[in-house]
Amino acid sequence: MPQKYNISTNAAPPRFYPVGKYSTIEFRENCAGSCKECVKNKCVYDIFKDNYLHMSKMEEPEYLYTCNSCFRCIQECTKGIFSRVVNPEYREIGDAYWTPDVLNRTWYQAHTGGIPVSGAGYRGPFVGKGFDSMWTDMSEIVRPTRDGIHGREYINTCIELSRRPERLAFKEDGSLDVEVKPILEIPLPILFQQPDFGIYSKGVLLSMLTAAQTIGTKMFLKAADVYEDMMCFGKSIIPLVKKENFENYPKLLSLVDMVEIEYEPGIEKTFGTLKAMNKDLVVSVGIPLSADLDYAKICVDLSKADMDTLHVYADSQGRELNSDTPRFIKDMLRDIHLALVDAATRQQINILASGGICMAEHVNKSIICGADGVAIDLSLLVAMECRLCGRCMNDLSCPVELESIDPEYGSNRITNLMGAWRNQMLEMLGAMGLREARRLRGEVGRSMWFEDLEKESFAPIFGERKVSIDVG
Amino acid sequence: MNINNTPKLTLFHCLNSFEETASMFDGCEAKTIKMACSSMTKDVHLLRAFEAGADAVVVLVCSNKGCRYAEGSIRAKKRVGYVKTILDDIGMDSKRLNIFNTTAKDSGSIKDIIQDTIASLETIGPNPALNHFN
Repeated sequence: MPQKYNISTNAAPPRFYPVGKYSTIEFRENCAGSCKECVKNKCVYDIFKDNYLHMSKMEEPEYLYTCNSCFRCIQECTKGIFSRVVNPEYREIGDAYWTPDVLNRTWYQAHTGGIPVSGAGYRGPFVGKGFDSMWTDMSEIVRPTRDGIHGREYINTCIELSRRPERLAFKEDGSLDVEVKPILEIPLPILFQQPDFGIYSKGVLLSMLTAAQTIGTKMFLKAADVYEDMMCFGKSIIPLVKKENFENYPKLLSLVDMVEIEYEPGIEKTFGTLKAMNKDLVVSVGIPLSADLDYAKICVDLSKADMDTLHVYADSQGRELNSDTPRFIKDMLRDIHLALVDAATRQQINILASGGICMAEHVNKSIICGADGVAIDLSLLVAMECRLCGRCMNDLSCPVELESIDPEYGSNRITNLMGAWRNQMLEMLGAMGLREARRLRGEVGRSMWFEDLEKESFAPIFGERKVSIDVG
Repeated sequence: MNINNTPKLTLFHCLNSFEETASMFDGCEAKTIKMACSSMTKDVHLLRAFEAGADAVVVLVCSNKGCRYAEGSIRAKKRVGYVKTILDDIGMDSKRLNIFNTTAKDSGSIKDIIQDTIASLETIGPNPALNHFN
């Protein structure tokens, strides 16, 4: 029996103490002391273990980043001396999209490799912007054999990056009458991508590449940033080139099996030259989701040319570029997917989506909207303890010294994060009754959208919505 | 005793009792530690601040009746009182540790507190523990 794909994880504790969410307010003067029932020893997540050990060395109050907010310590303290407080610094990290909770849970997943839990359950709003205005349909959760990571049935997360033939044709002797190109497959619908900002030290890039190689995925990397000693990662690199400079990298293009060229009008003419440099090269075109481009039409036109994958880019918060009223990536993906379906080319090519993918659920939701896979960037930095403080953009020192990260440690953290994300994907796919990530593509029947639900449930009672609601 | 270098000040404060404004820390090198509640100040944190080189430590707490955790500022006062006795016992002068009830909006009073603390260091002198090790 072939071995099932699995991502092995190993705990990688943080090098710098992360910005924790909670701390306890303890009125220790009232502590019974001799009750022998101290809730600190009873914590199921053992969060007080380290805290207790170095209490005498602390220079300032410590916030416990591994706390899962179950509040057991507060409920069970025999003297009631515990209260929970939120770290004021915690509220200030990240931004409106990359929220403190996203950063904190990403650190936790990169540390443990496990699925994050929330002891107090979900206490957020019912609906939010962007991906938070759609829900996945978990109605098949009752199937025990397909029960995500614990089920007997294997759930396949493979996707293809190479072009598929429109149809097969056979000669009279039964042999194939069409050219079938080699299939390029990756075991996970997640690719890596060089972030727009951050510290591009060799250690950082090597961490990302090593993790990509370990889990069998690929990483988009500017061709100019591929150092000579990175050539050993050949198959894991997707060099980013432009029409005017791709001919400067013949050695690199002969080593890799996929390349991405930046979109510009008339780019189709260069595909032939690219493939002449390496006949098995899978060609991706990077298209910015900019308001001044008719990206759906561009994608349709490109899909008819000799290329394999469309890689669409939104900004780091998943928004349309160059727009005062930006659309969210889920709506843009839906347009592109449906335009390709109308043009009858969707089955032949692949779509990768970038921008705004910061949680495991965003991968599945992007696929539902029509992508084959996603490319992540900032999550890789966050996995390596980045706080998205932006100090590096002003040439200030990095609070977690990313420039000196050991590639082995960095890749371990990224691998852990991918292990946790894949397990969450499996749980979602299992609950949706699907055994293939590829079957989820464009499968909006497995999702519920706030706008639709509202129309179906409340419009018959209250009529049309009078005030527009911004759900991204 | 004269202070040759810029005095170092460590300021512990709860969310409701302090908000930094321009030129608040003129004339000193300050480290601020923001806490969700002033009762998170433990005796060990205050002593560590002196060990780390602070010439003076100021704890700003909200009013006794305004504490969100009911007894936070009262507890903080008790702990500061306890650490003051330790400082006197070891000959470091308890005057270099003080606690005040303030509100974040009253930046004028906070600035006065900081300037008074810096001025008082002229008579108290620099952190003797640090000089001893140097």
